[in-house]
Amino acid sequence: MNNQFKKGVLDLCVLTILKKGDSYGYDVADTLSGKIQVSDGTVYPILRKLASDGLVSTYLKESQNGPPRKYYHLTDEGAKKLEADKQEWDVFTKAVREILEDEDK
Amino acid sequence: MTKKEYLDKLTKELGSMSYNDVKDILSDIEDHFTVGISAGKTEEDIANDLGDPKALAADYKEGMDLPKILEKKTVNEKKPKAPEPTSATVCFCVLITVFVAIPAFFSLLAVVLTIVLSEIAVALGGIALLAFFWTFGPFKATGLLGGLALIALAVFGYALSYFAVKYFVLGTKWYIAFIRKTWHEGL
Repeated sequence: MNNQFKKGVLDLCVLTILKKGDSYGYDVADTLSGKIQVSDGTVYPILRKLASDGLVSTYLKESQNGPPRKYYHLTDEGAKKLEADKQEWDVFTKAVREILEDEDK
Repeated sequence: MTKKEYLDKLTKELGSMSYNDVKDILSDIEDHFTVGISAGKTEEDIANDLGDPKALAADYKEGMDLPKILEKKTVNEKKPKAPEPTSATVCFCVLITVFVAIPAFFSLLAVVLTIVLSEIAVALGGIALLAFFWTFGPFKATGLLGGLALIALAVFGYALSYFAVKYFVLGTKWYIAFIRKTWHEGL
């Protein structure tokens, strides 16, 4: 898939995944790369950026096997940002679809 | 790629990021390997799925909004090229070299060589005179004085030729530097 397409929406996808519940990096990467063709590594810089912007927070949680894992949690600010971006995305994709369908006629 | 190779490559690509940032990032990626291995994947597979460490490092840097100056400098940065010399500069450099510098250089070279060679000749003369009159008795005293005088002259000549050679070399060097500077920076 075109990289330019992906760049803008991956933040939105990661925020959405975290809205369903707290998760750790590997899991987020797995979920995302299972649906969109991106490398697993892609989510880490995004998570880091979201954390530094205060949209997600992190905490360590013990795991059954191995060392404690770093979990990511959607903050209130992150939830607000997600709502706003999602609406914007819906309007945008709707408009794009209309243009593309108009072309097909 | 093994986990270690991947982490090493990533560290290298992260370049100029702060120690703490690099430590955090490496710890995240290392954890990713740990979870992957406990899920039954090989290091090789995990590294593959993570994607090119170079691309990952680039994504991290992009997210950081680092000031450009802090980013790792690329190797093949172009050097600013010196401006081409103007035709006036070329004329000046060529004319002064051909009509002033080169004749002056050879004249002075001749003078310096004359001084040095005379000095050597005088010294040899002094020694020869000394040796000659030492061997043949009758004019011993006269010959001795003459020889000593010539040797004294040679010592003086030695000092003279030392400075002549020194300033000749210095002058030549200065001229080359001057022309080079004029050539690159204009008149």
